[in-house]
Amino acid sequence: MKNFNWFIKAFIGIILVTLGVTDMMAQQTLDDVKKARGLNDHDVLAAVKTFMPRGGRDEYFSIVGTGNSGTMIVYGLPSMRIYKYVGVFSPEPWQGYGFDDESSLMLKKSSLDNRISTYGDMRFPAFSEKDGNYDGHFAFFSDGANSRIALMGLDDFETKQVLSNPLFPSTYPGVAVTQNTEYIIQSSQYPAPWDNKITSEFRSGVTFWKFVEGENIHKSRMIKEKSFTVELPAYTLDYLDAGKSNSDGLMVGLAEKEGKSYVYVLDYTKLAKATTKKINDFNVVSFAEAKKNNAVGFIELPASASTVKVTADGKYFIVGADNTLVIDFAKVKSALAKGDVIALADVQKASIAIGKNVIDIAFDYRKNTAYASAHGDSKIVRFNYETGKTEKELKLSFKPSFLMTPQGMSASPHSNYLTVVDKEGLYDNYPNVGPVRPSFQHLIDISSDDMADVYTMSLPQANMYGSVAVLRTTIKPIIRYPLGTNTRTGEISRYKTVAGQEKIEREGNRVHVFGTLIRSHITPEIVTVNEGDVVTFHLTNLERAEDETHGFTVDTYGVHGSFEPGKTASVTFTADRPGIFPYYCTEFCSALHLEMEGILLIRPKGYVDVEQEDVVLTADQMAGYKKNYEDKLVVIDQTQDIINGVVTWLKENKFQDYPYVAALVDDAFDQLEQAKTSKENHEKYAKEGKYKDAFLWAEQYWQYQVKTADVGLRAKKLLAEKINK
Amino acid sequence: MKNIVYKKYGSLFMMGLFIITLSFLTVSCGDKDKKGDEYAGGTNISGKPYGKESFGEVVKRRGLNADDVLSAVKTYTPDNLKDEYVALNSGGQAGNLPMYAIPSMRMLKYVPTNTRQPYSGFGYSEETYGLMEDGFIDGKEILGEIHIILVFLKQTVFITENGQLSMTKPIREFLFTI
Repeated sequence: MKNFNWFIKAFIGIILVTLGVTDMMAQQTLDDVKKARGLNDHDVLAAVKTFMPRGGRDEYFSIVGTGNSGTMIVYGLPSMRIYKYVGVFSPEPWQGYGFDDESSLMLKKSSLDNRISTYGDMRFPAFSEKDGNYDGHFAFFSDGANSRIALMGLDDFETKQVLSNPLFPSTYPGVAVTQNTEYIIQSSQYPAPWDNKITSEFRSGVTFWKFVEGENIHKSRMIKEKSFTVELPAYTLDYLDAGKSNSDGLMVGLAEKEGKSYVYVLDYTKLAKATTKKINDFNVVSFAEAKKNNAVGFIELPASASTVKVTADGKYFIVGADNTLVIDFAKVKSALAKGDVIALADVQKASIAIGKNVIDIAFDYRKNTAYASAHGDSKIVRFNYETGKTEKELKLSFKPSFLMTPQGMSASPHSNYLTVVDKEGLYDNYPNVGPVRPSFQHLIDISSDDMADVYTMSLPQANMYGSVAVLRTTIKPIIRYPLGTNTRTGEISRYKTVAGQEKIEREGNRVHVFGTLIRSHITPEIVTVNEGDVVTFHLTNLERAEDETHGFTVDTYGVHGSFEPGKTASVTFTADRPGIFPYYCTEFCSALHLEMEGILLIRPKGYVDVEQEDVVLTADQMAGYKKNYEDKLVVIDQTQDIINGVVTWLKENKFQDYPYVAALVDDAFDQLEQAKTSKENHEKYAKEGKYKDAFLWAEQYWQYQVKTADVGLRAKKLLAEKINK
Repeated sequence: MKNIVYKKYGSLFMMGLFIITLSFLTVSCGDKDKKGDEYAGGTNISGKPYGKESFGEVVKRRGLNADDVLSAVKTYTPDNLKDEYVALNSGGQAGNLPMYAIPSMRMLKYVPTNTRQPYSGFGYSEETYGLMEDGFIDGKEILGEIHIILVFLKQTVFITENGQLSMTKPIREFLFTI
């Protein structure tokens, strides 16, 4: 007994010592890294605040326009990791945007002469809103270079609509969205005549694109016929924003002419009812008509301003300038009723001295709190717009420009993070990769009164301006498309092709190939056409598994498509060079990726086909195929055992209760369903003694089995994880 | 072999214990009421400020384990620290060459090679279009797909289509002239 007590004491002692020692040793490990890399405590805190392990901890999805790249970038907060580049205004080869027929058609429709503009300039995006809050359905962009407006669906982060502004030759590259997404507001930038006649007068204007939300994302579009533009005098227009709650129905923007700066105010509910005329077949409310309806006003500013943003409660709008102005919306509204010239003194609530070269304003969850960036002073200022007092300052190591807080342009901005763009890449630690540098954006931790710069993000191929960020959980992205979806229209494509229905249709020199993509086959595997034929490959990705995207290109023909699971897209080209051209899957899709290939045979002009006799197999060859076939049957049985085992396990563990796992199981059974024809065929040919065909079909059957097993095992792993949690 | 295994998992185990100990400490002195359901899954639905947080509180709120913490400090590279390598990778069917820094893994540049790039005007200016034109087939612009990158003599970057290989170079050896 004594011995036993001694043993327990010793055991507890050892545990205590071990705990202490390991604590020190672990501490040392972290310290080792800190020391080796020269990190301080602030860095370590910043590291754990921003690090994103697999499994994800990002709180927000943020989108930013790339300026002159014509693409949109999606990144996460606080990890600042780049998730996706999305083609919007210019072709993007990776996803075949502007390369496949569906997206090309959409881009051509956005030009006035059926061309694809290979360029765009997009700076300040906006999200769709419901009651002033982001609903996570859409994002909008304006193209400053080619006067276009675009709608992105956030279900798949893809461009769904691009329209050309029929009036403005020069458009401001930013948009504003009204609080229930009734209108997407786009303004002109530099004044110019609207009718392409050099003798016409210069004009400016603001277009209210009518947005109609339908039963789903694809039934929701901007409707050109229901939209209108209000004409303004020839001012250069800048940043714009829409009112909310009490100021809903009004919008504000910056204007400048001959060295004088203004805020213009528009009452669009009145404008929507005003008499319109048609210019370029588009509804236009003349300036005189707008004035007659008391729907337009100008407030002259004492100095030039860089931004104008409506506060979250809609009570004020803030004019970002060195002396930042807080302007009372209610007073503006009553002044508007009296005429179009509004005296600043009558509507101003406060003027706050911020610093030199103020560029941008952002709002916070904290009541009446906003941030301003003073470029010339390299600082961020937190101020209260109700009291008109500055509260805190953060001195920065760089010159700040554009600001963003998550949910920041909505009725309920969030705290904790503030992103700050740095347009100069002047960092000691920047590895120089040539004169063109990325844009930089810093993440400022504003969770407490001690604001701190915690991360520097570099973003190449982007001229960074405004971002907007929405709570990650607000967006419900899809994993796959319903089979055969034209992802640009959301409709089931008339070119949808299912397994076994692949075909090649010819009419004169026009060839349509209806094909399918699934690990690890492109069907058909051989396509024969004549030199000069116009060939279209309509391909459908039959996969239902997550992230099973296939790509498609025909060697040296410069076409490309990206086929996410369920998507149907088409690529068209003229087969003007005879020869043999392999086509293949460009996306590394699985271990069997390299097997996804086929042959396009382009017969030269005047080619005469020589009839070839069927190859007759020798007895030895036939015996070989018979053995191959029989061996395959054994493998098929073994694979089936695995599948059965997985199915039993899944059933025992009630997979139906977990929708995500259930979807995978459905997918697995779908795969097996497709295998039916292969099974019938191999059994039929075996009966007929045609063992070569029997073997090939058995091989095909096994391929489906493997895919089924693969999905099934994935479902099992996932379910096991869920149960163990 | 055994030693290696011990080293690998031993340190993780110890690190785990350290974090557990640390989280006990922070839980006992932390601000409990703000760690409610609204932060479930690392998502702050209300958008309220987190307030001043200690190392342990951040680790707990974000659900990081010992591996994560160590990975975070191994990769986090503040403005006063230099990354160790510049990596060139293949853009595949995008027809460009992404460059990024190691260990921060931050993107530095997408060098356009086989396809147009509106941002840098590659394929738009006379000079760059001429460069692309050399690769045209029968006078037609084609889409490139890069999978092999070869860097020779520390000076010139050669990019070949198809295949799979990417390479990294220490920054001190990095001399980029194109």
